Amino acid sequence: MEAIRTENLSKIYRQGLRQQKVLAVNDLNLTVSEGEIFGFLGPNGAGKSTTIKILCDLIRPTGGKATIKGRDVRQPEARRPMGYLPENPSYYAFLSGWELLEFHGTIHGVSKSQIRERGMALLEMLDMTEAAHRPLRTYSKGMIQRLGIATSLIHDPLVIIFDEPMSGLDPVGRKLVKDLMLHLRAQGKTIFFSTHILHDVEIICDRIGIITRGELKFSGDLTDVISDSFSSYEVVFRNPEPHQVQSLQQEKFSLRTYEDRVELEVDKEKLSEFLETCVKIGLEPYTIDPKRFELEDFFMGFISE
Amino acid sequence: MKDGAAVPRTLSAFITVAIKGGIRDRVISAILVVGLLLLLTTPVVAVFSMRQVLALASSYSLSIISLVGLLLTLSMAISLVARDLEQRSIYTVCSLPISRSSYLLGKFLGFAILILLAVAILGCFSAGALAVLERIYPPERPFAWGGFFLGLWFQYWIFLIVGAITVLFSTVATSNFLPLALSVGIYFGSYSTEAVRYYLQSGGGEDKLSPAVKIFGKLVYWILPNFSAFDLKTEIVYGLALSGKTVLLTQLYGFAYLGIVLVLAMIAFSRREFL
Amino acid sequence: MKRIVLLLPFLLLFFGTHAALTSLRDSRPPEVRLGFFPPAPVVKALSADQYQFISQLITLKCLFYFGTLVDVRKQMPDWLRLQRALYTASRLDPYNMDAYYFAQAILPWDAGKPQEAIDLLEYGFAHRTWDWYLPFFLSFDYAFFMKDYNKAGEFLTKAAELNPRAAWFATLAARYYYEGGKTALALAYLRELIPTTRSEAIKKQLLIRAEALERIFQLEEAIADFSKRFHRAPKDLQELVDVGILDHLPEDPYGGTFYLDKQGKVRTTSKLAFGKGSRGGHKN
Ligand SMILES: Nc1ncnc2c1ncn2[C@@H]1O[C@H](COP(=O)(O)OP(=O)(O)OP(=O)(O)O)[C@@H](O)[C@H]1O
Ligand SMILES: [Mg+2]
Repeated sequence: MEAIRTENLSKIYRQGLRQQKVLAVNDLNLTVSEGEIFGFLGPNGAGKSTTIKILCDLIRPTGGKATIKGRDVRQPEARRPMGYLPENPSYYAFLSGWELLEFHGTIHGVSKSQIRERGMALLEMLDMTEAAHRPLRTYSKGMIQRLGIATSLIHDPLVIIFDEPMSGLDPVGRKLVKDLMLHLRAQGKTIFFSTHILHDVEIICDRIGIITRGELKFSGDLTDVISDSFSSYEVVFRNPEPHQVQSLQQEKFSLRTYEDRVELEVDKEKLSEFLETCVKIGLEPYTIDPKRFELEDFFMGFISE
Repeated sequence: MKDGAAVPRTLSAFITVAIKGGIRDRVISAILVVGLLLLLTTPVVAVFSMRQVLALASSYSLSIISLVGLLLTLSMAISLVARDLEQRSIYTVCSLPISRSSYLLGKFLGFAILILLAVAILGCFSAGALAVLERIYPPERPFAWGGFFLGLWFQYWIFLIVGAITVLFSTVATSNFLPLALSVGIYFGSYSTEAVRYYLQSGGGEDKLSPAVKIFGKLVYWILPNFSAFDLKTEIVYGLALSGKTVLLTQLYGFAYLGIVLVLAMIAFSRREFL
Repeated sequence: MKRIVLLLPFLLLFFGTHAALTSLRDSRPPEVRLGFFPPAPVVKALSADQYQFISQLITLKCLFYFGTLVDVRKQMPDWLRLQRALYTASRLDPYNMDAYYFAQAILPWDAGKPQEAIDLLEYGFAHRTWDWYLPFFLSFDYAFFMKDYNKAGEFLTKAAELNPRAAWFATLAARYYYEGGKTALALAYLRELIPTTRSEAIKKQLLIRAEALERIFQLEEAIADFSKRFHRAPKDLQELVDVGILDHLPEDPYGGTFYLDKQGKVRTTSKLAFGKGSRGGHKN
């Protein structure tokens, strides 16, 4: 059974006095299997948040249906195994972080002792222990974000839905959250999250979906998109002497010259030959990187279409 | 996978949060404190009356309680659902595994308990002041304490109904100004439906007004709650007897009205989208 | 769907209790309905800057109360409470003309409280110094009820100064010194008042009163006619019919019967108010 499934899901917003139609999601068929981390990508206004809100029954689809663990999202019970973090989350500002955890835990039916245990662990993991007893109105944006993540996990959910979990987080926080997500996958949880940070996706996702203008353009394994294999190296030299550059050009390497550096691409098989040339002309490469096909290139391909 | 304890657990969680919110809300505490200070002035005001000190004192303190209670009711009722919608805290609360109706009911119960606390505090305070005055200026007829507390109870029901109406409007409105304004209008309108009805029956109304106005008047009389029925000030102030039948009917009427408003709010809210 | 079913029991209970409560409240004693107004200074203090509005509200409530009771139920209102409410209204907003107008329309006549009406009107005239109606009412009350023709003349002069239609008052002033013209005076006063009255309940009362006065006036003319012919006063009113001066005795619209008192003046058992003749009077 899939953790999340949408069938021909569509949503048309009606806006303003004239009820102008905005097609936010169009005939979306998406499946997220159990135990995987699924990255939901798309430019601004593509329909990511709309899809996620439908999954949480906050808005109602114009057509199609969605299920979580086989249960229609229109039933409150469908949200029992689910943990949700909205984009720009907002909570009762008069509660303290700890009280918010208790509130969510209690409604999920988590016992008092378990709320204590799990709450402490989550706060620890997200480095929020110190602020736990302050009212939320004194929290910074990133702190709210961290607490929101802790809150959405207080009942040990099987299906975790995050809408831009990294927004507002500092580099340390992003690292914490990435580690947390990998930790959760190790426990067999399913994570479905939207993001704009492709680098994170490359590191943690098993599968991705790309949505533009409400339509799902791609859905598949990340390894199908980017591979560890590569065919060439990218070499950079810093401040080479003009005669050294000339020598390289004589060896039929095509160069790109910038102010203080020179770049060139070297086929995988020709690397040793290239390095010999370098030694011969006394030129030391500054960096040598394998040149991969990146997610960014793949993503841009869909957007510029 | 039905969980039997889910509903009481949800309601108690909401009540806990509501009480925390009420106690920590500066505006609510301020209104309550102002109310208590105003009640302190009861003896000063009461001496204006030459022959009925206690009657004046009780009508004065009941007026203060109804005014302060209305302010509390409106500020709390608007923070129930409308503020959740405006501040988007609704996203996280409604993504919990509870139905929209449970959310609404939980919220309303929390409100009902807070208002009950407020009315109890104000009522006890004014009862204390009245008891002292009763000692100093013994009235000709004994003060109707039973009527006084009954009056407070029905006053409380007025607040419940106003709160429920605010919630009903909040479930369909997109701003929180509109439900507030409508509730205030309905509050005042609901005290005059009966007078308007009598007027329409009287000679003045009978031949002068157009039938459309008369039908409108009747409709309003049926749709708006009749708060005059809950207003026992005259009975309390003059120590008039209240029949058990009146009390029972008024209570049942209030219960039915509250039930209708809340169920309508649930129906509207379960269709609501949080954009 | 489930919730609509939930709505049903509440709706049933609502319709049942609403109807029952309505009929129960309709049958309440009317005194309860005017409600209780705290003394004027207290109301004034509590009404903040809304005292004008509240003054109007109190006046309106009095009007509703009076209209319902007198018009629909033909019952005696609680005059004392009405008078107090109007007093409160006038202290809240001394410029509230409705309160004075209403007080003048009911207090001196039906309630038999001319002095209270005069007190209210004098308070009003101290504020509404431009309003010719107030001295006009005062002069009438002094002349008709208090028989204080000096005061009446004084106020009429003030009214005439304020009102450009002064000529009309001259004839009225003449009548103040002529006891026999009392009915005519009251009639003249009512005829001035009726066309400017907008409240239907009060207008109805004024019309009935004018009708009764007209009949008394008719009887007085007939008596004068009789005296001229027979050089004596009639024994009773029936004699006027017997000798053919009148076809029949007019009916009192208040439900009483006209009679001649010992001084030979026309009186009625209703004392020109509903309920008095038949119910034996209402005292506070
Ligand atoms: N309440 C609304 N009324 C009308 N249109 C809306 C509403 N909410 C969203 N939309 C439109 O629906 C489309 C999808 O919006 P959505 O919020 O799902 O985008 P998103 O993919 O989450 O974007 P972002 O990356 O900026 O968060 C957009 O065109 C947006 O303008
Ligand atoms: Mg979004």
